[in-house]
Amino acid sequence: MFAYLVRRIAYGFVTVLGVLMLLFVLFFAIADPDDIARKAVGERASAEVYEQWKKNHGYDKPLIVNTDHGAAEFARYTDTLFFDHYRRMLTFDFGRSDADDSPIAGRILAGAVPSLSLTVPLFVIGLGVGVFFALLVAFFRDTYVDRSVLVLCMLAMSIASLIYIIGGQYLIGMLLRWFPISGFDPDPTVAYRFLALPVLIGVVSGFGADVRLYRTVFLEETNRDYVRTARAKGCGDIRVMTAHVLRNALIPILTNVVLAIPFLFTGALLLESFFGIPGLGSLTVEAIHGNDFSTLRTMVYIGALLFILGQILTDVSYTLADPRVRLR
Amino acid sequence: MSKPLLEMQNVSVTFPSGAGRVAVVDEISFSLDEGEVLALVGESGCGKTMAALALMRLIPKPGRAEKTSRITFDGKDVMAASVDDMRALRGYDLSMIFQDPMTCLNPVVRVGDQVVEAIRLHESVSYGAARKRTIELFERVGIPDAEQRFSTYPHLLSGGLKQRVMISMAVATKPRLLIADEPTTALDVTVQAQILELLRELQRDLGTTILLITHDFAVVNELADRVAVMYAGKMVEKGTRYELLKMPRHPYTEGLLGAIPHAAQRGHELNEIEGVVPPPALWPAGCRFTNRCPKAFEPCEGTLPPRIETSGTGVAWCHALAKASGR
Ligand SMILES: Nc1ncnc2c1ncn2[C@@H]1O[C@H](COP(=O)(O)OP(=O)(O)O)[C@@H](O)[C@H]1O
Ligand SMILES: [Mg+2]
Repeated sequence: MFAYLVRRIAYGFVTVLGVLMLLFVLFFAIADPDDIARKAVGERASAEVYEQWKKNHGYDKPLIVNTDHGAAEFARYTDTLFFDHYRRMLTFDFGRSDADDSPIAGRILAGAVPSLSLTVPLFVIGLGVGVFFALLVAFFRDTYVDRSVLVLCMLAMSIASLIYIIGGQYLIGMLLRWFPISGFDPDPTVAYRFLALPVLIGVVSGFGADVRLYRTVFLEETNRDYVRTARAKGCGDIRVMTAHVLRNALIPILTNVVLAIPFLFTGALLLESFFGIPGLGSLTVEAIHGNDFSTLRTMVYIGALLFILGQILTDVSYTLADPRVRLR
Repeated sequence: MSKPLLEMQNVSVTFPSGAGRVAVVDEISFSLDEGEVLALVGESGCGKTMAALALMRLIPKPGRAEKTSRITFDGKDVMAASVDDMRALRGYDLSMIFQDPMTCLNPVVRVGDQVVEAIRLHESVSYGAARKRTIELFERVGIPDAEQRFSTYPHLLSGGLKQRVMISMAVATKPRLLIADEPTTALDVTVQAQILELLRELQRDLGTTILLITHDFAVVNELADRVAVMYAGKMVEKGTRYELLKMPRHPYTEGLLGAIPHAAQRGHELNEIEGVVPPPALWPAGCRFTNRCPKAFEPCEGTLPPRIETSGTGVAWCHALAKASGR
């Protein structure tokens, strides 16, 4: 297990190096630093302002080879955008925003709180509701309960999430006035009022797909031989479901959701921007609109790190949930 | 004479097929006295497992036992018993061992805890006491290092050990009736003999009544007092072990016995029954063995065979037998 983890992390590191290479090509070779600087300072800005901006944002070096230094000097290769990019990303020194000069690390930390306060409840409630209803329909399989929930799921799945957002804001926010339509407050005693509606809408829009997926997993398990054994020793329906079927079905379900856990951190793009929640989803969307390349670069990098982390977590969760799996 | 422990009368199990339902078990009857071992024999697919599951009331949907079936276990009407009554019965007075120990244990629960569950579902004992009993049971059924094995998971055990776990689970509450559904079929030959020996010991020590399902006459010979032979959902012959093995009357039983290697005479061809069991949809209206029977004649295909008493204890259902006995 330990040796496995070390190896996985080493592979992960190699993957990160590859991701950084891609980012370099996209953000420095294809998106020209001169263009970025020109856009940031405006067409009319003087040459000094322009050069100063490039220097402040670390765009003032050659891409890969710095010919100011002699052929024998290290600096010929280290005093470059390429080397700086790797050095800064790997040390989590993200620098300043191309758009408003604010430190990116600070903005990410500030955005993580609203994001997590939206995505964590959404994740936990969504999983609980999905598993509960799936268990229920699997329990009542081939009856009208099962069929009506399935129809409901299909309906729920065929409606776009935008409709849920706009419809929910209109119905619950405007007509019923139960919760505010948008905004956020870090004070937990107030925050829940802002979060209730986006969480509800997030749960509803994920409901259909989740229940259908989990139901399939449960039904597959209910047909297994060990379930018959459990009945033969006198387990009742509920005990069969909870002590035997659920325990086995949780393996594919858990490993499916563990992959998603790191991404709770990056927030929910659509919900955050529609509900005015100043999280990392909003930050990313703003960065796209505002030509904020340095922030965008950082978010993509963090996304890649989280993905690698998610995969390692998934493997570990397999060993925890399933005694048959041993990592070597 | 006291009443039998189990009476199965006209038990039918049907599955939907096309427009109607097809009876994969068709009006079979047999009974078991306390302490007796009855072997239910027949080729794969003839309905042995479904007959046993009818008794457990565990027939998988969309199958069902027909209302006309009468099942009496220990004086209780099984067909009419409530869900709670059945739950109390299953795993307590009425236990079952299944064919494939590889898939019949829960893969993510420690094997010891699976036996503990069987005990604690029916008796209000502490976990510690049930655990102690489980370890004793493991020792009793010949699982080495019982204490350590308690905490292992099924995939770490061999097929034979898994079946021993299944057996200890089934006998944990000293059931009145143990159904053993092909308990050795999925195992290696050497392990088969050990498991049979274990069953015989348990039967002798505990006096458990056993319904032994098998398609192997060697197993019948080892354990059974009486034998019931099924073919394509129908009972074809019943009798004592001696009668069935030494003087089978029904052509199907004769065929089955002839198909066993050591029963065939040296130098002669192995005497197999021609063809295979047809699927339920293609069963003839009369005797279902007609198209494979060497003695089939005119009435076999269209009319149900008559019940012939072959001895004081034996019966068979066969047109050819009826003709031979002059009826
Ligand atoms: N789920 C099912 N749906 C339809 N037919 C079934 C189902 N399960 C079993 N059967 C039928 O029931 C018959 C008897 O099966 P079974 O009792 O398992 O046979 P055996 O135990 O003697 O090998 C088989 O011929 C099979 O076609
Ligand atoms: Mg069977």
